[in-house]
Amino acid sequence: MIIVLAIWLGIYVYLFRLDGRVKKLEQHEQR
Amino acid sequence: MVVKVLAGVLLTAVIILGFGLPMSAHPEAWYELPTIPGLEEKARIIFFHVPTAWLSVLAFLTSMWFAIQYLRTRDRLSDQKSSAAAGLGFMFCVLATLTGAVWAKFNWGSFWNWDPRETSIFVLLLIYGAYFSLRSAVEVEEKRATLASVYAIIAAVTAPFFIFVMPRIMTGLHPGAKGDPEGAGPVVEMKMSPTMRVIFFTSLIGFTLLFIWMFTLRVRTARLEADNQLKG
Repeated sequence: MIIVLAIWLGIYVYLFRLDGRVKKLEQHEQR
Repeated sequence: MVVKVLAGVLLTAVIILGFGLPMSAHPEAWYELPTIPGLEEKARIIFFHVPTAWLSVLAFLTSMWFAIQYLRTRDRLSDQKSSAAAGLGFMFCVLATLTGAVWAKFNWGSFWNWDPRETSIFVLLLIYGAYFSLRSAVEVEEKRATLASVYAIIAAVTAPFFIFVMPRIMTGLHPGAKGDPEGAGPVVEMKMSPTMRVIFFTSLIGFTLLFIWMFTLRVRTARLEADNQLKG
């Protein structure tokens, strides 16, 4: 369970950070 | 924001409960999962294997929908959405194949047995692998989008057949195959205990939300790339 949870949380954090980066780029484009 | 947080919470809960709840031959408490003879601890993989397969069908049908929109409107964004959905469908298909192979090794002795359901998902992977080959082979954008859209529509028609129909009309190792005395399988026949059903459908909702989130991320990224290309 720990391994699966660690993999999933790693993927989730990656997606969250990617989402943040995409949002910053979109805001930069709008300016 | 709600989609992202909910996907995270639900899938984390599914992993903790799906792997953490104890199994018992005669469950008495609500938190005890029934031990299925022959499967025992390995049955836990059902919470991930089946939802990923269903999500691949959802993703391929989404790809078909946006492909139809592209052919109607010739809007480039629809083609980007169709491609994004197909990519995610391929990813979920691979996940379903991998989790299925692990389960097959434990239950049937080898990772691959050419069981009808295994064969049908393999064919689906080939069909969508060809979709991406087609996209990469055509350089002219409009022609690529048109050809890919037509292909996505035809390919998506086969997806529900390969996932839901073909494995049930042929004899095989999977539950729910033709001639299976247990019927159409534990999911369709609702043979899971109430607790298992809650975890299973929570997993399905969680994976659906994850798909929605990843789909919007891919479309937003594609749009940014396209805007950058236009600027030079």
